[in-house]
Amino acid sequence: MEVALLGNPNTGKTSLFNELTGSYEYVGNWTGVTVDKKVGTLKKQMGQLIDLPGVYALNPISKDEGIASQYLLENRFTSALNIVDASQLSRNLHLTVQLLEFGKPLVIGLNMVDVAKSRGIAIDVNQLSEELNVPVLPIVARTGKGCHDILNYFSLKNQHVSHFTIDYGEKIEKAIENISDLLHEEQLNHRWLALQLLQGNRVVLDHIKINKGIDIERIQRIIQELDKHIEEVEKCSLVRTIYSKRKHIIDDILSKVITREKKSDLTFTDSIDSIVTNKFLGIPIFLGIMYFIFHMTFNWIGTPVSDWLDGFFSGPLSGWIGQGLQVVHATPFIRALVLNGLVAGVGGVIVFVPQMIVLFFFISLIEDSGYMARVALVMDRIMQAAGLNGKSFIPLVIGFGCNIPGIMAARSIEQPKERLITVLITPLMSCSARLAVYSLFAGAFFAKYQALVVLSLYVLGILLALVMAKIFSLFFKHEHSVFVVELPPYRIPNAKTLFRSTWDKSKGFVKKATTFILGGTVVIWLLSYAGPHGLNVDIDHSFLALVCGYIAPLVAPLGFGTWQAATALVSGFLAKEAVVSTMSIVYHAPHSGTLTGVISQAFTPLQAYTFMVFSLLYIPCLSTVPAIYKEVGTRKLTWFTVTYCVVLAYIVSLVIYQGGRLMGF
Amino acid sequence: MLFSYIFGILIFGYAAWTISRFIKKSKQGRCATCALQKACEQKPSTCSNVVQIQKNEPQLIRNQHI
Repeated sequence: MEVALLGNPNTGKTSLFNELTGSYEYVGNWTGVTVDKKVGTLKKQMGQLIDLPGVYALNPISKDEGIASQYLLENRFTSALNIVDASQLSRNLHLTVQLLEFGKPLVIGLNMVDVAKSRGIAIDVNQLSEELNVPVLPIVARTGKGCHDILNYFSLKNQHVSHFTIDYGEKIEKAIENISDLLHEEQLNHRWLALQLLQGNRVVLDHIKINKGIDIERIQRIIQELDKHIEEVEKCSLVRTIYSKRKHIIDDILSKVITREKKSDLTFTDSIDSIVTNKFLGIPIFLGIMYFIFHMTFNWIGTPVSDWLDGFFSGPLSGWIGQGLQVVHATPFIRALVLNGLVAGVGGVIVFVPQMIVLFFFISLIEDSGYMARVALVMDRIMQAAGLNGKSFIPLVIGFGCNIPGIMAARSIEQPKERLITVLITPLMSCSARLAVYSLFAGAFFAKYQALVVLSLYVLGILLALVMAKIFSLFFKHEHSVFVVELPPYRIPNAKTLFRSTWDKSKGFVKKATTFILGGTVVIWLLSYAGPHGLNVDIDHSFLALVCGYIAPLVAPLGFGTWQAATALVSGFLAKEAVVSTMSIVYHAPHSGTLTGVISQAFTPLQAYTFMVFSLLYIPCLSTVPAIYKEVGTRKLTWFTVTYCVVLAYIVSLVIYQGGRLMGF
Repeated sequence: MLFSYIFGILIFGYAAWTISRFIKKSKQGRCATCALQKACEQKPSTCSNVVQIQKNEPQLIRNQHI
């Protein structure tokens, strides 16, 4: 059994997907989180569930929206699960109508019945089911309420196929009939195909064109003639006419199933929005919230725990492991590998886990509360000045977690040039891997102002992204699209979602540290242990010092022209966390205390800040580069992205360091 | 001594495995980063199955979302 999960954006499809499959996929209380289809196994091994990106209709505008139509055309799924937002029924049912017209077994998951109720909307579920001639199951996907009923429904052998037909009027019906006749070779529902063609669904048109037996020119003639006729008679486009017919039917159904209680006009959400989306207050509030989060992460909760962990790793843990290795008579080579390589390198990254957990918790909190959609709205004006719009801010915010999903999320942008520019600037966002670098340097040099320093780096990333977007938009001339964002109601974040989201992100960090970072650490350590004169050489005469000594002069004007810093930056291309693990090895000296202590001797505060800025900007990591290539489609543009990041990092770092020196820092 | 040999082989073997796996996954791009990869039964090649809307294709009717 294969079930397709379809619905409008931000109706809780992914929450329902997680409930029905028992998996955990990233959920956000904002539009455009899912940009590709995802396949999971339904609980009780009943079959597969396919989570498709949210669409308002089957006629695609943006790249990700085409996936739903393409899926319906190419996959022989058993039934469709349409998730419908009970508080936005009127708009949601437009997609439902098109799915009913498709003619496959369909079940409606009526989600957010709790939100609808709080807004004074009472829905007669049985009546709605009767009107649409399909089963309607009320659910609250976030809490899992009612989701069991959906699983039970899928366990039934004979699933209901709805016979729902709208009369679109004589002329349109005639055109549908004529087109349907020409589609006799097609196995899909002819009426649905004809209606989608009349609406100009390009994915359906491309699908039909592949079939050589279909007279596509005749179909196009029928559509053009009908369009012309409708324009003349109705003074309205064909698409608009079809929409109006559907709206009329939907309004009629809603008048029978909805009862509205009188509620206060100004809701809780409206009251908050009047402040947080205020023209003047919006951005300062956003910056204030970010500052608070960083303060909690670095000054209050995260750093004290990280410091304790750092002390534990470099003190008792190293001591215990050292004693253990002596007991088993390990060779000096193995002792050095474990203590100076593994414990120093991997431990150097692991110590930042507490800070990650705190930060991820707060980011998940604002995502699930619904505030993030407001941030995109507030940023719209600034983004417009840079030649983009608020929709581009969503991938940038996702890029704060990891640049790769951020780059993928750019698919929800309709305008191709805007999409391309967004992909090009997303690597400038401070991903969580860079946070380990900030934590190390900010902790060592700016203990009291850690939150402010980290916030300045995040803001610098956004500002430079906007400047680059403006520059790129001068070269890529494009039509501006309009930013329409759905503002979901504020809600108290779900504890389970918060826990899962924080756990998942933190787990990823630890996993990376104990796999790839560990592997890289071993290589870096070996190169620092071996040299032209054999093993156990002085680290300044190691292969690592020798090779990276050639790179160091290149970054000397930026204030960190040492082979150690150069090594860290080279390994940072593989993964940004590797900057920290490498530094833990190359600056490691027996009984030297914590890495923070050693680093504070090796850099000045100005050099440290410049190094953080350079680490923020200098290159997308190894995993991000193929993601950029997949989205931009050409090697030339991929190389361009990598190159411009390096050049930009160099220029900005040079200005900060040399400017700082001139100012006496 | 025997312990050192075994331990050394294990560490270097694991390191080589993690690095090769990471590079292989990085080349796959976004599939490797997908949280659902264990539950997902798609092949990596079909994961990027996204419709490209051709810009210069003659339009029947202008796309319209309402």
